[in-house]
Amino acid sequence: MKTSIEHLPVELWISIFSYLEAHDLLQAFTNLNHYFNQLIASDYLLFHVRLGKTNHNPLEYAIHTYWSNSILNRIVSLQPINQHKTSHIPEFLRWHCTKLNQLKFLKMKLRGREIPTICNILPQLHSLHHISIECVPKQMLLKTILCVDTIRICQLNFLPAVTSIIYESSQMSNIEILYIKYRDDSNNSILNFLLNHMPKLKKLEINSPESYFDSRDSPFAKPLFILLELRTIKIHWSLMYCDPKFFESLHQLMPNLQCFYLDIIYNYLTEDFFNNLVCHWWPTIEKIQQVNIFIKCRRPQITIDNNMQMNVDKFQSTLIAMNDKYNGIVKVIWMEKVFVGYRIIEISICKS
Amino acid sequence: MATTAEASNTTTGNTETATGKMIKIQSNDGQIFEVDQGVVEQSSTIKTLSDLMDVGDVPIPLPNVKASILGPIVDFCNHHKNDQKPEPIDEDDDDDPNKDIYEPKRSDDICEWDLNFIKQFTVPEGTLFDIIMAANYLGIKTLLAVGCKTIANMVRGKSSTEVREMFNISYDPPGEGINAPNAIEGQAGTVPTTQDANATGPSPQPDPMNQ
Repeated sequence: MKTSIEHLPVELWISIFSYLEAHDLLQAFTNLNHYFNQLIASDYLLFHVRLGKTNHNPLEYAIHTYWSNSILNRIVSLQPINQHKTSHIPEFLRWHCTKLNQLKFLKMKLRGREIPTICNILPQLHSLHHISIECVPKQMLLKTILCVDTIRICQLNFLPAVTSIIYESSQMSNIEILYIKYRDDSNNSILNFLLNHMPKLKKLEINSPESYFDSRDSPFAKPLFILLELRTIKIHWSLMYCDPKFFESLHQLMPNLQCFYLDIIYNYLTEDFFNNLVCHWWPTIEKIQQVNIFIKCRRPQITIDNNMQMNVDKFQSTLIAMNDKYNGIVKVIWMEKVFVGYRIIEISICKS
Repeated sequence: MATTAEASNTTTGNTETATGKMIKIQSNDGQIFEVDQGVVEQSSTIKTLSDLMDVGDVPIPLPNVKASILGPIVDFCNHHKNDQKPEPIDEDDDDDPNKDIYEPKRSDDICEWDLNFIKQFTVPEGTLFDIIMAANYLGIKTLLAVGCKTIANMVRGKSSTEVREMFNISYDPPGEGINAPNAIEGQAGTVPTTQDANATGPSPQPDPMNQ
């Protein structure tokens, strides 16, 4: 007898459905026959939903019978079709949040006016485990995220801040993993606020893609918070300014740190940078078990005189000498090239 | 009477000496295939049976798989036996914050060899479902994933009408299943009551947000 698709056992259908977004799944398999309707009604089947954006009236959409309660309460992830575009997720949440009993992952880009609505909704999502938000930083949003005690993973992609964060709270979050990307954070107010209220943090990743440290303090220069559980930190910085005290309080802040990843683009190389790296940063960083540093710095070739070249050569020798000094535990690679009139130096330092 | 077809090993060039003990497996229509440990390791069913039974020269019977399916499966496993095993996932070492367990799994990552392999199995002949069910029975995760991804890719973006035609899915008989009188109340739209191929039944409403 020829095998037909309806011979596939339920567990294989659940496996096939796991490759499909909810719209694709429902449009393809709803109301084919009783067998498929039962499959779709199975509690084992969970839905991943991606929403887009049109000019249609969102109220008309939100009350649509397409989203029955039996589907809503099996949605585990909700995110926009286009990662960095706004969607009707806030409207969807406003209408359906009380039914989203199993929603674990939520990703969205918010307009400023949508933030108050989302702040009302988030506490009603009782299974939310991982949240990812792109928006302008607002105090009320940060406070709300800290208050949702089910969230363990938090991704924040902040657009330039309009105001400083001055909120004080005794609320402590259960967040264990924080990814934060910001363009502007006067006086580190956002970062200090968040880290002050995340005592269970195990992993922290900071991404500041634009030149950030033009004249500001590093968040690791002063002991303003303590993260006892933190094991891994990853930092991606673009620098215009280099301070010897960048990492001065690192061990006070994160006494149990095991992995340190530092990725720096230094836009205008000065001799101070190497001096700080070797004499001030490295003695602090080397106490950590696993270190991975990548530095890319540049300077117009024409501005590098003989004195500076001698100093650069000296620091190159010092860094390369680490390969022998640490008996292979530390591996340093130094590469140089000239590109469009710029001297580009790339340094990789690994300790494991 | 059983016939023996020694599994070819053209893709890797490994020999019995290099891969250790050879094991015989037998399809439900009596054909015997001789496979090496590299193949056995990919099938949790064959591995369990060969570990439990001291089979010696006796072929392991695989009553749920016919020779026309088992042969290509042996070819598949021979091709993949030297693939690098995926490293165990360490949560603390997850570099990609966008990679999330709550995403639908990827189905666009089938390699070219696997794409060509799966093309030999078709819906009209039922062999596409045979190979998926055999992979499931034999516990060959990589082949099962290729089969499930193939079905998912076939239906993505299709309406239920198109899926019904593509896989020749039957309607419920009149008065039964979703055509039962008491099934009408719980569903939006019109419920199909005939076997008319044009009667599509209540498919989900188009989602205005995603148009």
